[in-house]
Amino acid sequence: MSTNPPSSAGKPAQQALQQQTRTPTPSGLRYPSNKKTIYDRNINRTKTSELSRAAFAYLFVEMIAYAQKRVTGIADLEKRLNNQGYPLGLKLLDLLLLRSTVPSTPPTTRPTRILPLLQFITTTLWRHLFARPADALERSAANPAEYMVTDNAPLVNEYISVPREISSFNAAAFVSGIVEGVCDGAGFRTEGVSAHWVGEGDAAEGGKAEMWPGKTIFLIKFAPEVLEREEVMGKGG
Amino acid sequence: MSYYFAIVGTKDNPLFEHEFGTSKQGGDGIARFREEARHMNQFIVHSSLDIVEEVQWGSGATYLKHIDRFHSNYISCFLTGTNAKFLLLHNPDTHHPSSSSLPPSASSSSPVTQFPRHPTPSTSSRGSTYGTPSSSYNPTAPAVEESIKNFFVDVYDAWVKTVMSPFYHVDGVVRSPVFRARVQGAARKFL
Amino acid sequence: MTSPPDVDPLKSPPAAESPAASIVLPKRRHSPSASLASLPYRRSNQSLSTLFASTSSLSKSRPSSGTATPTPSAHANSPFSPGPSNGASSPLVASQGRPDEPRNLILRSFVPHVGVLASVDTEEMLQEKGFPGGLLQLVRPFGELIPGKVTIRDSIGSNRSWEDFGVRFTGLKDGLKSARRSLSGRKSTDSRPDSRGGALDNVNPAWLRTGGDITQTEEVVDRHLSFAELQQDDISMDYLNHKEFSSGTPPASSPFHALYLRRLLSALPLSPHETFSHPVACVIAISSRCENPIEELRRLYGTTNTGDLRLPQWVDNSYLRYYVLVHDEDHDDVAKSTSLYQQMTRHFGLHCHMLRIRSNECLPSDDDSVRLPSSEWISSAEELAEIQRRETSDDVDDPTPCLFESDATAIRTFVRELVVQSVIPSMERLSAQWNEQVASRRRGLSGRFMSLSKKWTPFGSSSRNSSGPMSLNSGSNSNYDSLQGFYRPDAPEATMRKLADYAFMLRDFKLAQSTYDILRSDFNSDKAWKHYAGANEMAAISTLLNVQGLTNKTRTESIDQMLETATYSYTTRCMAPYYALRTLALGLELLRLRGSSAADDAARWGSRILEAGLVGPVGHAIFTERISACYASRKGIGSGSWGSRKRKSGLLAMLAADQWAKLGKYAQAEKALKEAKALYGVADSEGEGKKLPFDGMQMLSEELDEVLSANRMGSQEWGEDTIHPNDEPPVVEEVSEELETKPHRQSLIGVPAAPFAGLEATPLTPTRMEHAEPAVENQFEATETG
Repeated sequence: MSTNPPSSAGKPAQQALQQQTRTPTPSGLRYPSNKKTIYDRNINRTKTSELSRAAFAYLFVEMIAYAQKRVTGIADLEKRLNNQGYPLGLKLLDLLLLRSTVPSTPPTTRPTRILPLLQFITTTLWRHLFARPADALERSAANPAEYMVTDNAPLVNEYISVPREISSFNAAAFVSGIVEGVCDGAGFRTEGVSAHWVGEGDAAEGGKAEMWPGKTIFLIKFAPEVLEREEVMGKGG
Repeated sequence: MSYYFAIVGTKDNPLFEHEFGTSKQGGDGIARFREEARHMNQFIVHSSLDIVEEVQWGSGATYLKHIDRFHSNYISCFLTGTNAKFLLLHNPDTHHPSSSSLPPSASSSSPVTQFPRHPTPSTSSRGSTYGTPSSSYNPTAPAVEESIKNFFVDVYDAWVKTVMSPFYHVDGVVRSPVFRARVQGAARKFL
Repeated sequence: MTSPPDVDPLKSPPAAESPAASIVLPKRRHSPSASLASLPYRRSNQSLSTLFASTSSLSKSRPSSGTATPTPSAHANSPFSPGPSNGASSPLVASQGRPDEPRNLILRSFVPHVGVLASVDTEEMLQEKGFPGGLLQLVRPFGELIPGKVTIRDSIGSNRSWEDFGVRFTGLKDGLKSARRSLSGRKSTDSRPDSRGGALDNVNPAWLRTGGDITQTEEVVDRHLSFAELQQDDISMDYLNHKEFSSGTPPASSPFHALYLRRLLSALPLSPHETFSHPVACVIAISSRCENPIEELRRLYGTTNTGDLRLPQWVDNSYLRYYVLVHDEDHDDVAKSTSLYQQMTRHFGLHCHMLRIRSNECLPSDDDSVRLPSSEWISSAEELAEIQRRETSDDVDDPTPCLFESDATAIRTFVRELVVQSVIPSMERLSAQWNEQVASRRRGLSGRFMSLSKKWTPFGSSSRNSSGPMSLNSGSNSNYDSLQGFYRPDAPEATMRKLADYAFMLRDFKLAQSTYDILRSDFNSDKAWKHYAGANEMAAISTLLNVQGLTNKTRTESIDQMLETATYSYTTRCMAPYYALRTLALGLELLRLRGSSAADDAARWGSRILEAGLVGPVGHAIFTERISACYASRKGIGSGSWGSRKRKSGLLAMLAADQWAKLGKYAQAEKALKEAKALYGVADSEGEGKKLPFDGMQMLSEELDEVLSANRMGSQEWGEDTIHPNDEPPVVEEVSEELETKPHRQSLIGVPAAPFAGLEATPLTPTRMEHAEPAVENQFEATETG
């Protein structure tokens, strides 16, 4: 986790605060003390910098705690985490596109088909977030609209121990939110991206589950019009 | 040469608009659109979204080059990852305010003023150049495409920084004067 | 759409003290009077309204009734219904209103021309009968649609029947004078008021019967529009009530566009570069009163051959002569006429006919009277003259002459016989002959060889430059007379062109296309630019009419190139804007009918019309609307409708609305604006409260709303007030009362909310400004945490 404080959670409050502090200066613009706005910084400066894992773990736990307030159930909690991740995905998409190319050339890797998009997610996005690619990418045999991205040991779950009573809860819902944001931003509307444990109960994969107790599958379900477009565009060229 | 630059969100909503003129060849960087052309520009840019949507899925390029034309208004497009559309309308005619440069439809008088001219040879010769009064201007010339590309890349850089703001929502209007200054700077530099 | 509560509905609208009213007022004052001042007529007499029937019946939001002549039911409903029914059912009823109407229009516009020449005694007899225009006036409407099926055999020997075949009866030299007039008389047509004020009355009727004048076409359509504008007030209640009903229907071809196209294609001028208007046959008629019939027929033949009526040397003079004996049923002896007829057949062969009609004048009150059908394909000048004549006449009755039912039947029989037994067979014969003798030689390898050798003979270029009338047959390698700009009719190129045109008129588009194709290269190498343009034009059109499954590749490569070349040559090399407009307008229609991706091309050619400035303000608005329709006809693929052109269509519709409003044609503007709003998804019915995405777009839309509602309000006010003396030319003063008494003014009260709709929707300050928030995104270094 190197960039982007997952900050959207407290947004309304902060925005209100922002408005308040702003009122005395009607010009509306306050420069930082060093007279440098965000626009004056190189966007690639932090490309290789890394974030302390402990700091992230602490922050993430706080995010879960924040999300957990007044939730009605596991589904609701996961939804909130998903919502926290979603704007991140939107932003990362553009940032990673910009960084994927040599400076001052327009990116040419804008994903326009499902597969390139998924590859972008499993490699570029994953590498950026977790410093390694995702472990597997599969298409559902039963439903052509569903794709599965597997992560054997999601970073987000590393320091989380789920209480027994909500054992199905997967904190990687946050990551699924990021993935959904990327898909949506790229124009591939999904009917939801969700994170699921692979483990107990799955007899066939039982051995593996031992090996990767935190193994998580991200299920991406694309909207029908995306598939339809895929077909139309595939025909057209 | 006058330019109208708009960033359009995913719901066809304008996120940012800016007008400027060329700074090359002694241009003063001021747009010379006629008053009626102001809203026409918006209409034209909006209408070219039809074309954007068509070519959008064709290639993974972000810079889609010159995609559309309406009379002598040329539209170049750049697509960001999240499908915000950078649309640059370039109108080469405004250097010569004497010629009825704008789409005749845009102004009240021009259909009327234009009509009696058709028997005269001067307008007939105009028809020779594929109907465009601005025959000298070629929107697909490598130099033009290149400078517009550079402009877009510069704006894209600033755009990503804007979008990175945790307070920026998708399809939100950008009001930052710094961003505007950035666009202006890119325009001065390349167009 | 509710009026502000503080406005008393009984108060007259201008009394509303809304701040926006001051903005509206000047426009309101100005527009209705301005638009009405340009109307030279004030009388909506019945005879006049029949002239406008082709467009007015449609303007009453009755989109399905595409008939050009009102059907009886329309008569019954219309307050302007002409008294007696006009007799023959409209020849267009069958074919119009079909989805591919423009295609039919095009098919029916390029038809064989048949000259009509009658002896003095015949003309006298018909003038007594009440036809001042003589035989031509009598038979002309009947030629436009041949009753029953007409079977034509094409070049490969298969027969095809057509129900909508027709011929055009013309005076022999009709199309000719126009050519001169449009050059020398250009000045007078440019200054429109002159040409309007009776100048047309004095000109030779043959001059009137010539088309090809864009300005006049504009004017005719403008008259129709103005008339519809006046009528619109009457039907405004009706119109508003039918809002929901009519908004659901797809954008049908506007009646004004159809009219524009028809007038554009009516009375094609006689020109060396195409032979559509060259006579295919000539009817030579004498009457039973003639003292010396055979001699008279010979004399008439002589005038067409060597005398006054000899057409210019670039017209092939060997057209078919068809001899007609007009027998006077009322006064002359049938037996005598029959024997005369038999004598005629002995002298002149089979191409003869005896037409038995009564010479007594037929009154509308007579039992078996029918009105002369109105002619669909009259030229713009003729229609203008007719409109003027009826405006100035005090006679409220329809002045169209009547004839007896038996006469009408006799004429129909005559026309059918003429076409089916003489004109078509002779055309078929000639095209087969030419195809064999000239064209097929050029199609093979040797043919290409021949044209090559022709091009590369050593003296080719020099002799071509010096070729004059004298050197035409003196060994010049090019048959083209570049000084006078034509091929002699016996030159192979001229014959080929005739072959292609005949094939086109006989609707054998395959043969036509291949022949035009050959001609293109020939004309190009001869630098016969007008011919070259013409061949390209017709090659493109016949290709579009012919090939059913046209691939995108052929379309973009050949059609585009042909249209481009034709337009370029017509406008730049030949200064023939009329033909350029014809090329583009036809190309547009035919491409549009191919739908989907071709609709884009159609729209592109449409924009070309506008950009090249080929049309006047009325045409500009009409074609803008048309381009919008082209884009609208392009439907997207799938649920996302990828590749649709809704926004473009919306833009054009909005522009059309703007142009109509500026022309003072508010009814049209309203229609176009509604169309545009529907396309943008902000129509009143569905998009309540929705706004156009861009401020400027919303602004224009609101401005238009305002202008239109102000006009609606204004026309009401205007009807109640007296006319402002400064605004109105004195000519129209006398009839102002008539407008006041019109019943429709009251009907507007039924829509009290409308005038305020625009005001209400317009915030005086842009909302954006009020809610402008300070920028929030600058201070945060979102990207950086480390």
